[in-house]
Amino acid sequence: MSADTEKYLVFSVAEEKYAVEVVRVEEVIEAYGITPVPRTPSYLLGIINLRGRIVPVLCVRRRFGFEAAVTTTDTRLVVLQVCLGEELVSLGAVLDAVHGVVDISPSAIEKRPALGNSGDQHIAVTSIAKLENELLLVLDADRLLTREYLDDSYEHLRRQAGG
Amino acid sequence: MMRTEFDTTKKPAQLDIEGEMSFATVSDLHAALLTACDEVEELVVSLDKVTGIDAAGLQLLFAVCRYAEKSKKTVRVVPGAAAERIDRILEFSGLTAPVCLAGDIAQ
Amino acid sequence: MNELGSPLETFREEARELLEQLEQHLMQLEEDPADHDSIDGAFRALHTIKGSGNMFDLDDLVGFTHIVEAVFVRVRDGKLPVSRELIDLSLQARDHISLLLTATESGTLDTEVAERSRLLSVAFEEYLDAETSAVSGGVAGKQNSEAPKDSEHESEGECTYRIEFTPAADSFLTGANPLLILNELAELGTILKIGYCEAIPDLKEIEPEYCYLRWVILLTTDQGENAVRDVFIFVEGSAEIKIDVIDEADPLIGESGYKRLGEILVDRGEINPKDLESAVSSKSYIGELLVKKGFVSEEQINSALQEQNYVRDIRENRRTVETSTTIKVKVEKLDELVNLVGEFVTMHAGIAMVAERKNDQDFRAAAEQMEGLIRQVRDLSIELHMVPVEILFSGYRRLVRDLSEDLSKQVQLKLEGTETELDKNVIDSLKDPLLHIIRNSIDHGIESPEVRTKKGKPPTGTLRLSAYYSGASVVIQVVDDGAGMDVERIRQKGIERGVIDSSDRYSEQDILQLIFAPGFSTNEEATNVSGRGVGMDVVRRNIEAIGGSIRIQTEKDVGTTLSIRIPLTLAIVDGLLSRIGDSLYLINLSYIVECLDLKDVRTAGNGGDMIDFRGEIVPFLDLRRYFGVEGAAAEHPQLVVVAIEEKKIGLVVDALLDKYQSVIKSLGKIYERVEGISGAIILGDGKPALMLDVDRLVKVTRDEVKK
Repeated sequence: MSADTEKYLVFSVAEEKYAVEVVRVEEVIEAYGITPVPRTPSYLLGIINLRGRIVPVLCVRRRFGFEAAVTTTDTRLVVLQVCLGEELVSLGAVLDAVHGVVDISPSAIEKRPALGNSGDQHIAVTSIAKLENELLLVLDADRLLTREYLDDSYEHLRRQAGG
Repeated sequence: MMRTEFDTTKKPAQLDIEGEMSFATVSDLHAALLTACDEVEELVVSLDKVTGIDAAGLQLLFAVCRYAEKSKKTVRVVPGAAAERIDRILEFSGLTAPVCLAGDIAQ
Repeated sequence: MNELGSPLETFREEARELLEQLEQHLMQLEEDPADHDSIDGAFRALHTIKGSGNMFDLDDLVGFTHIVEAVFVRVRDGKLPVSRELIDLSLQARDHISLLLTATESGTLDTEVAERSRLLSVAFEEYLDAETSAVSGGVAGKQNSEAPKDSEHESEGECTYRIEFTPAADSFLTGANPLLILNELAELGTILKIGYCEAIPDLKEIEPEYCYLRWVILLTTDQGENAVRDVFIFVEGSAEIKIDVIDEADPLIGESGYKRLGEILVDRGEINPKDLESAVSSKSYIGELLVKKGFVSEEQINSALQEQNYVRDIRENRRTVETSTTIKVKVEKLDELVNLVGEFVTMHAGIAMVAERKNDQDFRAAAEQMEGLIRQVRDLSIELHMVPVEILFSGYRRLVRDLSEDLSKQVQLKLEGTETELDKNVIDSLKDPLLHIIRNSIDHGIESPEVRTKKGKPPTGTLRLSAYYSGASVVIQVVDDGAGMDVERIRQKGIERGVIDSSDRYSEQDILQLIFAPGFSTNEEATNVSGRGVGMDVVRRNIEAIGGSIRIQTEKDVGTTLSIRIPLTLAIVDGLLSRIGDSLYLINLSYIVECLDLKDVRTAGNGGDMIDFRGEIVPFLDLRRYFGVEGAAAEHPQLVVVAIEEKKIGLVVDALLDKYQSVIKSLGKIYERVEGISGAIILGDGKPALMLDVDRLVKVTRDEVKK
């Protein structure tokens, strides 16, 4: 492969295949040892101890509006580096399965408008990678969880609790 | 600026120095001390009313003590209220008190 | 403009620090006009500014500072009492020096500033009579010589000089007072003066106007040899002066001793090496021997002995200075240390757990021992991060003084608990919030003397800054005995702004908290002191950012108290592990009053939402319900009674486990809006658990009850 390609991690969530830049991936681990944090939006699963660091964990299925799946041997937790507001934070993302790393040339990537509402998976998918025999949804890690979405979720939660 | 009072009625005789023991007064003071030392066998020099002392004044005190050591006469210097002042200048100039000063102050 | 880091820039920076110190000393003097340390301190600050300013030829600055310093020479010498007027004037001078300092940046002095220099100088000169002008002139003369142009090469490092000084016989006559020279030398550094009176003849022979004294002076200074020589500039022609370097601050020389006695005497030419050798060969105490043999006088021996001791002391000191004075450490490094210690604590908890499980006596003992050690390391590392609040508090003295003067109010500032220590980072973040609060207290709280008198209060108001420990927190209070806040007016304003409605479900505290809302000011006309209500919202935000909370108590015409509660340290706590559902939660031990079996507790209140805790009716919170835990309730729920500032609530948990010591870690941005949880810990098995935010829970529970 030529030098101008970029490495992507391929994973699947709810029967669809996604790709995320490998530079954003800190590590891929088994999805266990998660301590739930109460009074938080349902897509936030809790926290894990990553070698002494507390890392928040998000369920990508729930975040994208799907039903949560039962944890299987394929379930993985991918620790991503994402921008939240002005800050770079680590965020654990629980996915159905991780398939490996592929090289994708920029020419194979097609921009597409982010569709759907803020709770939808498409809001975080800003382009599509056309490979020889399949299509991958390219995940923009920074859009997985935005400040605004998070604030809205907490606000929603507060109103629920109040009413 | 400086006054001395020589009282021979006291036993031992007493020379009271009042005012400043400084370069400006050491000549007069020297003369008064010499007279007193010549006149009596036992002398107490009281510094009780000394209000100031400088290097020249201090030097003269040393000379008094040196004289006391050498001669057969008994000369004692009693610092009185000036004790602190004398200590200060001694300390300041890095000198140790002469023997006749270091002696007892009780009278 | 000067580049950052240039010597002039460094000077300005240092001078500003000195001006800060000067101000502190002046404020202290205002309280205690006889405080020698502050007099000395003020003098030293001025002296140093002048001296260093001289090096840069900052004539305006040096000239002005010199006059102020001369006045302080008088104060220091007890010739001038410290008066309120003098303090006032000196504070003005301080500000003016600061202005002159700023003027050095542009290099030009506008006429207004120059005129002010002149006016202030005249005012200061009035404190100087003819006699002292002469004294200060002498000091200034010395000053000029103290800062030679080439001192940069020389001032590197400390050096000890032996100065042999024999004044000319006629030095009294010529006015070259040797004691003044000693004095000037003493100002250069650490000094040991050994006076020799051996040459004084007895009364019969003495020429009282001649000088018979001589000195050997040991001077340790970093000012360089030229500075030392300059002191003798006026007597050089007549006096005998010999200056030798006898000890340099050479890092290669490690030994703490000094030359042997004989060597010193030989060095000084008081004995020749041959005599020394012959004396030494007879093996006895060298000093005694030399005297006995008549080679040297007892005085010479004593002096050499003093030199020996002096240099030994200086060296000893230098070593202590090098090893035990303050070392500047980057805060990040300390943070890292505290973090690592935290890891250590966590790891130990794991080991202790294994030891417990294995039930091995020796293993358990070792783990326990280790715990003691870790605790010490932990305490020490936290201590490194702590500074007394005095640093924070005393900085407000000037503010209070100036502000009350501007507003024609009389305010007395009282500081309490200044020794209370807080995390350095916390102190830094408190600086601005406290400033705003104090301003508000003086501007809106404390009344003018006339109004106060009418109210039957003493004309002088009191502003009290106090700090004290309360559990794992420090409480800082700003208390004034002013007019108090008008709760009704704040309420009206809140309704007007639509922040609250007109129902009566708001507690007084709720209404008072409104003053922290953005853009909320109770004063219709903004004064130029408090500004336009800007600030109080920032105050709360800043305090909350460091995990603190702020409360107001106020009573009409009695005064207002603002209490800021902040965590002592953000790092490690002792807690009690409890279980709620499947999760473990840590409760900070310092908040816990008592733990009880829930079944032993009587409920009270209409809806059974209160408990009777030892006769006190206390609200409680079922954490299972609060945290939305599903499933059946525990068989033996436990009640943990916690209190924040005497305000108690009961927390119902499923079970209580062990005491647990742990580092508190932040939950990070994503969870920063979570209610009731303040952080996370890592358990011995590596799984995270949550830390209850007791402060928040108490507030929520008690607010709930009010509604």
